[in-house]
Amino acid sequence: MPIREDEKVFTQQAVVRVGLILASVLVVFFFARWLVTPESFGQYGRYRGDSIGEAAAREVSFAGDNTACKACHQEVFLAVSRNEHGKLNCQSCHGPAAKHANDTALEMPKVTGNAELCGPCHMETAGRNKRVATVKLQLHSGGVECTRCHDPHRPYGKLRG
Amino acid sequence: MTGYIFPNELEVNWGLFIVLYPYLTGLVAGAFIVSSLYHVFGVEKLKPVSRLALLAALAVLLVAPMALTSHLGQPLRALNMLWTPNPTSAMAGFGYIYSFYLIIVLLEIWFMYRKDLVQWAAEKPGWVGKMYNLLTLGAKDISPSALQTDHKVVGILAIVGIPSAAFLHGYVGFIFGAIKANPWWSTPLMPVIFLLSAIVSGIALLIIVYAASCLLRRREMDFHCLMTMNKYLWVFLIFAFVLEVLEVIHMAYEAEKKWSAVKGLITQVLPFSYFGIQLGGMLAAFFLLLAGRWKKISQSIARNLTLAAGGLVLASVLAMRFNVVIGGQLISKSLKGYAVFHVPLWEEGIIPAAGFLILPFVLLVGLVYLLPPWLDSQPEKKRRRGFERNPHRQEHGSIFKRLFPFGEH
Repeated sequence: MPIREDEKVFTQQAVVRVGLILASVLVVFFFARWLVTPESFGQYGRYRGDSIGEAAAREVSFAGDNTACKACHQEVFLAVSRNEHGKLNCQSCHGPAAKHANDTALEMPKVTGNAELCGPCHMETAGRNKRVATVKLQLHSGGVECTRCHDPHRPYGKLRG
Repeated sequence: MTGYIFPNELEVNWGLFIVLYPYLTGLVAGAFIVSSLYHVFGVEKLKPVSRLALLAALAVLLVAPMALTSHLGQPLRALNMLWTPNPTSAMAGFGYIYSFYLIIVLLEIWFMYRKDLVQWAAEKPGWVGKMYNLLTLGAKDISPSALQTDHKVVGILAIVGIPSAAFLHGYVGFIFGAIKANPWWSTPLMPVIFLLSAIVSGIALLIIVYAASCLLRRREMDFHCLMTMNKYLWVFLIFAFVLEVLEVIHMAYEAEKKWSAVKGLITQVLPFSYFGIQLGGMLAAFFLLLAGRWKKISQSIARNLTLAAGGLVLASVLAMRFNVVIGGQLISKSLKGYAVFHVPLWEEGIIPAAGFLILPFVLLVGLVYLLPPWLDSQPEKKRRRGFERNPHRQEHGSIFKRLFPFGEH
């Protein structure tokens, strides 16, 4: 319905009250936005700019590719590089090695729980590529550690008795 | 799983909560349109449900984002989207449109009830009166000119509300339709299809809610009001059905590469919920509504046919949301296989989903107690005889008393 100018809608008590409430909702929104938006947001893009510096300042835990490992563990390296696991990074199973590579006196932690380590590639799932040998973990080993029989450095080699 | 799917397609990430989100949002849009038919287009026959429609819209509107944010797992993260919106984020757009629409609905309800609120604040004793007093926001002027303004503002809000409601739900369709990698979703028709099925489901909801409210209050249902809703439901149902079917026929006729995957989805993976409930429900409702308007049948049969049609439409639209949301994720991007959807019981499963479907009605009961929307002046119906104790019946006493006749001597 048309609004005539002489009928003053916008000065009615109810309309003014509601208008004030809406305005305060907007003010609260922008105040909250100001409160929770990090200062460096939008510095480079739609993210917190400081996060780049923070990520860069974190301690390096991985020792890069296998070059550092090869320097000392040549025998194992040669054995593993001849087979299917040759393209893997040693640290995928052995864990971050930066500390150990910088100071060999610090020992690498022992690799444990290998069902969890091997599972992501060797567990049978519906969509997995059949070129990778997959098993139903529970049926196959029933919780026994994979390395009890298999040598991950020579996956197609003789099984350990 | 059938055929070939990629490893990351095994898990269906969007579960039942995402099925509920467009469903609930749709109910809002439909209920609002019914209320606007009265307030804007002057369909007088819908007066008995005009206020109830708005309350129902609000009740559902409040629950719709709950399903969505529960799906996030960390609901408060949803706010980040609003604080720092990305201009290319469709979801952020939804957040703003939703908030805008919520404000429109709240304002419309407030202006509509303002006169009543002022009266209740004066009449009701104790804390109830105080609460109404608070709800008036101190605007207690109920002079004719002030009420005239209220009426005008309600009209304006209803006019603004229609495109907002249409946008709100069209946008939900847009979010799905804009995902170009998904053959079952990616069509520019999606917003229109969603909008029409939303309107249809909202009118159906209102039919059921109105019937339930009349039953609970023991009032005679306004037959003309019901038949008017029947008529609008029927008209919108035709458009909704035609669009949904046309989209698939169009896809089939084009016979692009994706059609084989979509065909397999609807004929082998979801045949029951697609052909049986979604399309079958709509077709059945179409004929029931038509039969309900037939002059030669009695009012009570016409009423029951309309109610049955309303229930069918609600089920059909829920199935449609399921088929779109879940169905779209079942098709592998390889177009050569289908994943399987396992419905859990808890987490994003059946029980919480049922909770989200029941919650709007709980809220609605609360809202109806707070803001009685009834505009009828009909007297309360007499209790049906079946519930009444027959005064001529001989009193035998309860079974308990007959078995253990203590204290009767």
